[in-house]
Amino acid sequence: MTTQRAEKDQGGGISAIWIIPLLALALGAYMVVYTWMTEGPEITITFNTAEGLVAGKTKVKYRDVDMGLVEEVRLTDDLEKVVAKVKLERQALPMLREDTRFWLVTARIGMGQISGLGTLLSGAYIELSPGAGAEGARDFIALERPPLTPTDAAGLRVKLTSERATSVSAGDKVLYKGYEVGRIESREFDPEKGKVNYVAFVDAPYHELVNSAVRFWNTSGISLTASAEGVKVRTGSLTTILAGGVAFGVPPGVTAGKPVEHNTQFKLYSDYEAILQNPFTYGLNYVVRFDQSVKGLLPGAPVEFRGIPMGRVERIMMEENLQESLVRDMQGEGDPIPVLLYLEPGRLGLPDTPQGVEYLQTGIRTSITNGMRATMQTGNLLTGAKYVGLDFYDGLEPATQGEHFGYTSIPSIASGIGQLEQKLATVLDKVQELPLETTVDTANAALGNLNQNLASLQKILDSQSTQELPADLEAMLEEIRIVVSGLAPDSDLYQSLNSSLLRLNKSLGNLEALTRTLAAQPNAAVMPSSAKPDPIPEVTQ
Amino acid sequence: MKTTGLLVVAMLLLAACGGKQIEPNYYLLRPSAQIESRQLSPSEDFALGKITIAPYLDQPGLLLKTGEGEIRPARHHLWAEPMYEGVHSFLVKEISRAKGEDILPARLMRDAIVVEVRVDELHGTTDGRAVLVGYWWLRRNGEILSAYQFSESKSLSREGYQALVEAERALLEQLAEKIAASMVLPG
Repeated sequence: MTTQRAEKDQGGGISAIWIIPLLALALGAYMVVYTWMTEGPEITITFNTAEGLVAGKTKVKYRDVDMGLVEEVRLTDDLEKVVAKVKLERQALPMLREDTRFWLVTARIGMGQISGLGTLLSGAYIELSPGAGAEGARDFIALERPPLTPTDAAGLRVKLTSERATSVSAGDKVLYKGYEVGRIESREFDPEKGKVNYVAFVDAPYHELVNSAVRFWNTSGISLTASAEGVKVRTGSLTTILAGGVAFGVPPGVTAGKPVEHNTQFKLYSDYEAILQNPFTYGLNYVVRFDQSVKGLLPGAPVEFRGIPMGRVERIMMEENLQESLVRDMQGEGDPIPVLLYLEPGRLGLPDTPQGVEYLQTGIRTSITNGMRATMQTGNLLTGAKYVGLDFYDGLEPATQGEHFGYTSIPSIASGIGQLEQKLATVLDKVQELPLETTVDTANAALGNLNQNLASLQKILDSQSTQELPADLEAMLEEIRIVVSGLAPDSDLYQSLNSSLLRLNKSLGNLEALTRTLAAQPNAAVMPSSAKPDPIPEVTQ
Repeated sequence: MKTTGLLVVAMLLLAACGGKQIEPNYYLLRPSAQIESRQLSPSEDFALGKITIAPYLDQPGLLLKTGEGEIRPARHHLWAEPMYEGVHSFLVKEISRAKGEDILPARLMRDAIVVEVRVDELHGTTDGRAVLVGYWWLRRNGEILSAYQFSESKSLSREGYQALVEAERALLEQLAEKIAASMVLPG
């Protein structure tokens, strides 16, 4: 019998049996690394509700490609929102930026479109819209409804502000001359300013049509205008009539402005007529204090310079006036009533720019120095509607611009109907002061006397002597004619008169000679004349 | 007694005042030609208008120029009528005679050519001459047709104012003839 002896392998190598665990370890490490290398990010998306969200089922898609899966749906700690934990593919990692948007895609039926029908069968899913901001974001808030414009879409985004909520809502169209060029993206109410803000997006290349001179107006509904020219109906497309919409364009008579940047603020006018009434952008406020009744002067009343509209009445500043009166404790003293005006340089042909406003300011300041004053005029005698007129007047005391309630003032004078009323009242007062009763009594007495005098005159005219007066006058005129004919050059009287004049002339000559003699010799009347004899004309040979 | 003395002295003084009285001589400016009785034959083309004399001539005494710019009117040799009347009458008669037809006043002849005369100087001089300077012109309806000037002198035939009147008369006759010669109808 052979006995085998166990011998210790002195070679000392690692047993091959260890290959298996090592291999498993390497495989495990590889799998860990692989998993770490290929595993996508984990993000959270906050929703208002969990409607349509199912953990392990609801997918996240981008361009209909699965990018992840909702792993968990839970409420936030304050129970106000719902948080969905989503495991994304690693491919989605570059898409996770601070402005990346997520929203739930479900079947939606709106006025303009029907979308998401496919989700009726496949179930809702979360759409991803990659952003362009900083990377690294992991917590997101889902949009309530799908964004109307992709984040990276080419075009122009502007902000519209309206004084009141209109029928325009998110998703409505933005039209240019009736052609759809964009859409309303959102609508929000600003409780602080009491205004409704809209965000509108105009697609490229139509965004180049938007400049600083364009106006946006609501084209929803039907505009019906009745005037002396007839009835005008202005509508947008059927969709905008039903669903609302916004149009923009440059008002007639206004030149195109400069290109605008993203998020430029525009006013959303209620309709196109409102734009025609207020086509200008720039203007400035003035205050006019009227020391007369402002009945009939309503906000929106025109302000005219010699018949040319240059602005409107904003409002009657009763509130400020009352506060000032309270501060000064001067109630009941009949302070002038301040009226706030809004003047636009564009209406006078000046540029509709800040520089045009400066021109208008300078012009008004100079004109006031030259006698321009504001007056309240009656525009419609039937309705009593009034407007503010600016014109030049002579013989006024010098006036300058002051400042009231933070606005520059324009001096005013009473005019128009108000002035007439004052004059009429003055005349009536004077008439009332006239001693009419005494005057009438005196006039009656005078008329009685006149009546008596006329009766006496009638008696004189009826008398025979008066009747014979014309015949006597005729006889007298005949005698005058005879006398005048006697004065003719060939008449006896003329000859006699001529003869008398000749003698008189001669006597005057003698008297002149006597005067000369007496001047030369005062005693010539009683003493012999010492005058020299006349020189005798001699004959020279 | 005293009163009687004063009256005697006054009578003596008045007697002393008495002197020889000088009677003035009066002269008439009339044409020398004899005027006949006849029927007048008025001119149909011409009439006599205004005749004016220089103001210094309008005085009763005859005038003698005793020096340069010096005129002396005679005190005792006087015109019998105003100078203007004498000149007017003289020229009417003499122009009519020279023209051969009677020239009537312009107021009687509406469309006739009117002759108007101005006598500027008419006096004697101490050197025995009579001087006459005058102007006349023909006018129709306000339009001057022609104008003339006359300036002549004539020596006295003897001394004395009578000779001076004769010389002035002769000068006026010459003037009347010149005027009559100028009165021709315009061609």
